[in-house]
Amino acid sequence: MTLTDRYIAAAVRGVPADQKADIEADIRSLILDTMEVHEGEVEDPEHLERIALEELGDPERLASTYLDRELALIGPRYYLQWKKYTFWLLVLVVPTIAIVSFIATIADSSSAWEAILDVIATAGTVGVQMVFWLTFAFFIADRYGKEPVEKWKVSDLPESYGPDFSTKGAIGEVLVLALAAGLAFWAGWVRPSVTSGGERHPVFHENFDSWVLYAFGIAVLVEMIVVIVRHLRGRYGLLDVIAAVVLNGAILAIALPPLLGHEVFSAAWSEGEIGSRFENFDLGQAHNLVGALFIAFAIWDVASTAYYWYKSKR
Amino acid sequence: MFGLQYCAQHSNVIYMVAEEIIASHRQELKRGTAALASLSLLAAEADYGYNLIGRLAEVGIEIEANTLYPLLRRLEKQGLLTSDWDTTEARPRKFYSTSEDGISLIEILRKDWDAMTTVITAIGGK
Repeated sequence: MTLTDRYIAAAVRGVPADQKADIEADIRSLILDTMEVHEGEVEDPEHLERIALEELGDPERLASTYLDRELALIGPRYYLQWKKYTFWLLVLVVPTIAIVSFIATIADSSSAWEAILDVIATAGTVGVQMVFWLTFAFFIADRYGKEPVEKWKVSDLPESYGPDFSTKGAIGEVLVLALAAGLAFWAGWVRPSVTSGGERHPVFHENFDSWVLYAFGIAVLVEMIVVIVRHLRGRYGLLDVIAAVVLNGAILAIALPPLLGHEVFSAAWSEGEIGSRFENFDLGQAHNLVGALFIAFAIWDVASTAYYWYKSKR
Repeated sequence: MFGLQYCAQHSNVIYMVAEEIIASHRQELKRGTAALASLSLLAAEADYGYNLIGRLAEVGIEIEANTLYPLLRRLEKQGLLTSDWDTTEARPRKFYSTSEDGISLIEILRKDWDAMTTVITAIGGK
């Protein structure tokens, strides 16, 4: 089998049967013509053949030009719809499955870390499967479909892009953070308790130090200052990303040890009169769940800050 | 991008368009002309692929063989070209010539081309 035969075989491999013979003859003629043009340059016929074939390029690309077929998994007709559906599936479905899976898994797991790893594996598998099947569906539609699935409408226009830098948005964000910081300081100072059956039960575990709440409150106050500076500047910067990493890292370092040690909430929540109100309530699982929420929030906060910073640079 | 360049002949600083921008706009302008030029040349005289590449180059249209051969086949499938294998030479060659439909299309596209030239000339611009 000559190089030319191999080249033609590679080119017509995906060509429909009714066009194969025709395109094969055409490509053979094209190769011979190209060789003829370079005839004076080299003496060795095989070298000449190589020069001609390399000039014609990838046989699959040549075949796609013959068939007027785009060399893309999903062409421009469906790409934007594919992008939109993939984005929403990943943003809505995967986190939902992660939360549901976490709640379902944590009961059977010996530790919060084991549950988190299970959730990451489940959410990852679901995400990959969804993207694969969605891409496959769009690939089929792109190859054999006639019209776009849906027509674009003016109502599809988003209200605005990116983060909210309005004064109203800034005040809202600062108020929420101030409330969170105030609550942390208050809880650390007062050490609240609940009354049940004439007895007072502390909300927090006896080993849970108030300094954890104070440190958490300070971290939230620093975050509030970062938010104010960002709103005054009117854009996200690298410092916001660094601040998000440092603050979230600090918050996790403060909150996770007592949470994973199951020493934040007092035993009153699962024992005695209060505990009897919440049937099947597991205090250890509750600690793990709150810890997981802290981790999820930290990841989301750092990722969204980095994303907005990246977008602001473009 | 636009860039400041020194024009020695006129001893002043002028704005020049970067080479790659010119090249990309030229390519946009030329896109689609290969089919019309091929149909026109093949209406004048039947030819095979590589010789047509030479004739196109003579009139200033550069096209590669791996683009022209598939284009000729597509035009043939659309009924704008007809083909015959010439077996009189050392090896057979596929000769294309423009069909009646192809000639009609040339007339339509030339009118469009002329109209566009008139519009662009009328718009003017510095």
